[in-house]
Amino acid sequence: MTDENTPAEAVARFREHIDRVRNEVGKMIVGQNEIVDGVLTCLLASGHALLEGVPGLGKTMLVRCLADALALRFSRIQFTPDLMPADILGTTVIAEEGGARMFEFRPGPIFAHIVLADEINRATPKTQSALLEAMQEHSVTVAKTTHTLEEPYFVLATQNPLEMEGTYPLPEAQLDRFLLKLHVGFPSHDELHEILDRTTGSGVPEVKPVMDRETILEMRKVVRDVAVARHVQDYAIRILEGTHPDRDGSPEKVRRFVRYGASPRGAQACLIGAKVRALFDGRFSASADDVRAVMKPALRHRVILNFEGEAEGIRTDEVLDEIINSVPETSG
Amino acid sequence: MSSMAPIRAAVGAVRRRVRLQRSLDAGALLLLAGLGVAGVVLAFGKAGWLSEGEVIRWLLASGALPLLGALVGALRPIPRLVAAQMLDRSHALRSRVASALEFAQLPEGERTPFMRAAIGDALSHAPGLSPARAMPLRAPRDLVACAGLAIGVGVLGVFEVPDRVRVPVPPQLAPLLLHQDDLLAFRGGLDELMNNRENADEVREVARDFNQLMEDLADRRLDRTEALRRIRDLERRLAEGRSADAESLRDALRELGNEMRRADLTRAASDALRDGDAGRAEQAMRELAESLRQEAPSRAELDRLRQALERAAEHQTPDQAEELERQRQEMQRLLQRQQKQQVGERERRLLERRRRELERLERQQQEHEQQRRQLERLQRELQRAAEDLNRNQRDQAADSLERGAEDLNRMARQQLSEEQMRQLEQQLRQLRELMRRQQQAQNGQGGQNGQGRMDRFVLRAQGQGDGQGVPLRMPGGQQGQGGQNGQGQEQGGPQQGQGGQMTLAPGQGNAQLELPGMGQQPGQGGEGSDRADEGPGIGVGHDPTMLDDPTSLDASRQNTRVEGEDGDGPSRSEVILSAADRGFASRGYRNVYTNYRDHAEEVLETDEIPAGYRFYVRRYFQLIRPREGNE
Repeated sequence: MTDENTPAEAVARFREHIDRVRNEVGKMIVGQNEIVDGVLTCLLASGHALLEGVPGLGKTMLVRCLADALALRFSRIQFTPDLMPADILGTTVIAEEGGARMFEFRPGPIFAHIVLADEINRATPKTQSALLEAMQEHSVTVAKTTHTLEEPYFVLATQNPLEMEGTYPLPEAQLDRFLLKLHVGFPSHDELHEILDRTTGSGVPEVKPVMDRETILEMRKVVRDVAVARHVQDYAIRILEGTHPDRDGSPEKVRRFVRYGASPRGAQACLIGAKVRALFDGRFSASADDVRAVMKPALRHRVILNFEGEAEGIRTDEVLDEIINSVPETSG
Repeated sequence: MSSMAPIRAAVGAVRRRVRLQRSLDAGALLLLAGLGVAGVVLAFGKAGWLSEGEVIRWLLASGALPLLGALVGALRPIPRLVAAQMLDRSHALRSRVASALEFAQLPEGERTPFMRAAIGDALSHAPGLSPARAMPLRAPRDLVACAGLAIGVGVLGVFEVPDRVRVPVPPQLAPLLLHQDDLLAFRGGLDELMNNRENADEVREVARDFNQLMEDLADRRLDRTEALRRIRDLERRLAEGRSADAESLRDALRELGNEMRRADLTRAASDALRDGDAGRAEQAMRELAESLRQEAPSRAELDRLRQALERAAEHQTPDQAEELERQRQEMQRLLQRQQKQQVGERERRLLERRRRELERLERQQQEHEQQRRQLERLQRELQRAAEDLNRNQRDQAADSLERGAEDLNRMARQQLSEEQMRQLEQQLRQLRELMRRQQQAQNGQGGQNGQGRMDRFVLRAQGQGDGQGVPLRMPGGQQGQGGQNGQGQEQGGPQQGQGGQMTLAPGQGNAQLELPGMGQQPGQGGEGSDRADEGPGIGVGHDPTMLDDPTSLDASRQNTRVEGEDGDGPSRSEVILSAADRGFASRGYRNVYTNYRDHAEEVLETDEIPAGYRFYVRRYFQLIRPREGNE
């Protein structure tokens, strides 16, 4: 796209597509604009999203609407403790074709453009780890045969923070695979009215596909083209460094309550997320404000609290807020 | 890149404003410090701790401080990125300007299309950039404090410190404290001297000043030095007022009396004249004149009277005028010779002493001349009376004797003044000695302790107190023992005074007064004791405060052995009965006291008693004197 179009045109088209998707999703999802933008950011930044929220807030509905609006192949996997890796990856079966019997691979639900891993923390680590290769490499290896997943490949996982009994919290390595971790908040009073109006009436809104696979891939390229000034990138790095308790100048809360800081993937997530948000805003370069906007979703699942932090009930967002307040935009 | 000019201009303007604001802030901050320094310097200058030149130098330095601060604030580097970010924040440009500036710094070939687009985007916003919005200038933070401090420094600058006047601190007065009883004792005799109009003016005046001195001491307005100075002044005035040749008048009267003793009629006048008592002689002379007028003595008596008067009138009193004149001239010659010499301190004191001696001799010469005229006038009257008797003119003779009595009256008054002055001198000496002893006691012992003992003694001397008192000890004595002679306490015996104290028991009860320096006297035996040997008579030790030599150890003594009776002695009832037989005291204490004191004075005058001991005797009588309500 960028070869033929000027950046201004590319950005304009990007915003146009995004607005269309937002409008379609908005038919079904009331409010949750930040969550919608976060999911779209992950999609366009070639990342995966982890949605966390109590049941009934529309997490699954949001993903379904998004899949409907994007005209992509969608599959939903309800994770349960007895779910096996083969159940999601697929399996090899004996098939007869022309009298000859041969092994044939039957792909699992992971073979889709958008995969909803519902309540991912209910599956065993063995099953959870089956997603690792798919999420990171966008490929699946079964019976010594690697199967490439078709782009765009986008995993949306949900988890319930309340019902922790009988669950298997995601290991840090797997959490790190998610670009953003989005907290789905409770809707406001007015939003609740709107939700009830839409869902309890006779007319059910229908979401139409407004963006195809090629457009998404094109938009992904545009995202990569967005310029980032050195001081903005420096700001993202200093924020990342601020999450490490052993670094000079770390805030007091970090030194006290954080065990491990975020990995470099955190800075990557910040910066790529900032680029997407710059495009959402129609700008050609990311700003420090964009970095700040995506910083918490990008880092909250990458900062590991220590025992004291857990015992004190410290939330990761509090630590990140202090980092934002203590790290200046300009170094020196 | 010329297209970046609007952005650079805006960024440059912001940087200048930032520098200006920093300059103002730093200048105000250092102005605050400079004003503080200036205030301190001004205060030091006003106080005189800094010279005028130093003050000016410090003020100039403090004045340069804000300029230095402003300069530093203006020269501190402001990164362009910071100014660009200020523009972005103030205009909500989301890092457009800052990013564009960074992208513009890259070589053209390294810029991506999105970078160029970002620069263009920033330039499109450049016309709306307002440096004033990005960096609004405000008043320096410390401006209010500076203004307040500047006002304070200004007020301090115009404030004129009054010249420091060293107020002389009056010397701390350490009042001389005398006991109230002593004050009363000294002032007791002064009232009569002051108020009796018949007394000589000089005596009344000195007595009045003496009384004023005692009042000042009572009011504690005098320290020891001032009190001694006034005592010295009074003594000098008394010495000047007293006749320098009083004894010669007494001698002349005595010789006159010897001549008159041959006649019976003049026997009384003769005795008085021989005693040197002009007052009594005047009285006798008047009585003689009255007897001549009333009745005619026998011829023989009249002849003897005439002869006695003639001899008295013709008696040639040895004239000392020539001797006095010779002494005066000798003293004057010495004085003149010494005045011509180069004198040192010692010679100057000698010169002064001789000058005073010369004055004394001159005064004595004048008084001698005056006495001579008085005696000649008396002798003329006696001669006239003798001639009248020779002519058998008794009335005229009586008149002449009356006139002679008048002459004696003048002499008597002069003698009285002399006596009063002598008493005043003695009291002044006692007062000075008392102060000296008190000073010694305070140096040696606790002054408060002595004061308390004095209070208790006075109470007992006035017949008050508990009668159980602790023996009072006058200061200055060594520890020793003495005979006790308390009333009703029949103890005593051959106890030897071993120290410098003697215990006496004035008044009633068991209160005792211990006077130092009297322990050499042997103890006296009391009634009821079976042995009353006289002690060796000589004590050991010596009161260190005594100025005189202790009593000689070779004093004669004689041991007397008195046989006593074995037994318990009289019972209490027998003692009371014996006392009833002899009768209780019937004489007033004042009479007894007066007799004893006069006798003691007489002995003090006649016997050779060390001056230090005399003080104790007089002090003793002063302390036990009759007081009001204790007659």
